[in-house]
Amino acid sequence: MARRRVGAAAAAIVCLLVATAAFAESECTASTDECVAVGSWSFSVALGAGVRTNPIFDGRDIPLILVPQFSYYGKRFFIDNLDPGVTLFDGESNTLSLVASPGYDRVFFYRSDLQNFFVFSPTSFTGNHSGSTFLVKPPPQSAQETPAGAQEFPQPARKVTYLAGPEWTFKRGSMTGQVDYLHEITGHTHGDELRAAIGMPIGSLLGGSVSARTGLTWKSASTVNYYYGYPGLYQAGWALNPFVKLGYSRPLSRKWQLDAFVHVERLGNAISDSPIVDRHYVTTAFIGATYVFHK
Amino acid sequence: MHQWMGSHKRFGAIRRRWTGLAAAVGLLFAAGALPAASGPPPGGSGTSASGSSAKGLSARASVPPTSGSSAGGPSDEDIHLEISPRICTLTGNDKQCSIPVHAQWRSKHDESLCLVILEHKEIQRCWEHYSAGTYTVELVFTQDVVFQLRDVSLEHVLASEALRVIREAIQYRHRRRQPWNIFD
Repeated sequence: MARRRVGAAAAAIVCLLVATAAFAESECTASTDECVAVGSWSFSVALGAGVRTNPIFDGRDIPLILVPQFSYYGKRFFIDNLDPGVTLFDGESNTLSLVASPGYDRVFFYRSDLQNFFVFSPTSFTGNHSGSTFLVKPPPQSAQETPAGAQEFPQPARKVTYLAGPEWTFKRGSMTGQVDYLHEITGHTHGDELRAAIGMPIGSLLGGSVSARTGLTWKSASTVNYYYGYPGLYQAGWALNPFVKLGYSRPLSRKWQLDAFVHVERLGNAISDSPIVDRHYVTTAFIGATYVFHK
Repeated sequence: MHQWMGSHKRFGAIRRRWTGLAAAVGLLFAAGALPAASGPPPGGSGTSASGSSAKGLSARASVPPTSGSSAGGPSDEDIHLEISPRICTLTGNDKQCSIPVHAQWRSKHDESLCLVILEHKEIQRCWEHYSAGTYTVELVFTQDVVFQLRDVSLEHVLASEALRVIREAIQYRHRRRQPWNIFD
């Protein structure tokens, strides 16, 4: 009974959203930062210096040297790097899509993960966590003995996973927000993720623009367990990871632009409490020049 | 108690009906609005061609007698002008049309007349005592081009036809913003 009510209410909300979005035509009339021509594709490569810290115990940080970016937009279908999707409605202030996106956490365990290809670096495929064992951080009292005090366990396989679900993007003034509810569809974690974020430009600096974003990712217990749990050793619950990001972009010429950003994500307790995790934060920072091959 | 439960159930049923009605209305609105949002682009008729090359359409044209026509002049109702193509479609980044245009006229009687192109006054082709004529010219243009057959004094229009320029409507959509992405 209660489920039917929730279902009916959800259907009504979705229908109202759909109706609202469908009534308001897209405001896009030209190629801008916000809009693209239907049928267009773009490819760019950022060359610079950066790093993504690895929260896994004894894990190596991931250097960022070359960052390729690819996208294609059809009338409905699009692909944005590793995320394909279908846009159901593209309205003036609301966009509703169905998207698929790879599971993110695997990047910390396998340097050969596809998402690490998109932050390619010379050492991308030589990580120490693709082996058959992994280290567990020692208990606090023996911290002085690290890494000798660490225990070694067989490495469980963490397969490439994809999540899929609805994505709602909305715009209110200069603020842009996005909410994704994704379910794992490749049959490995059977987990769910809720991703929500808002962002806005916050000013100009030295001929460029500064933007800020903040948001959070909620991961279900089965998702967290798949990556950070271990049978008989650690059973994780759900985790909530908030993040903030500051970005800077400045056009240098028709084909070149300067990009820089700092992205800090706090790992939820269920993740940071894992015996294989020894950091509470993941920081990604990069500065470099982006060359646009095609836009 | 029973009465309250009965009211509660009735209230629940009414609420479900309203929720269902709201869902149905929402779907109806969405269905009604979608075709307008996804309809054909303006100017994108089925006769337009892609690319800056033009479709091989032709047209016959004649104009009503002009007030200045002399009684002994050509009977312009009998003069037919055809141009091919009739439409040039600009697509993508095309800035202009650059195509050969073929003009052909015929009349029941011998005529003396000239073919002029309004936007290209330098182009002029005349015939003396002919009942038909053809002319092909390479044209570069960005706007509609009007072809006219005039009498030899160039004062009276005997037939007219336009070569239309259609710009393919480019559709735009929102770029996806991915806050978790490196550069979004």
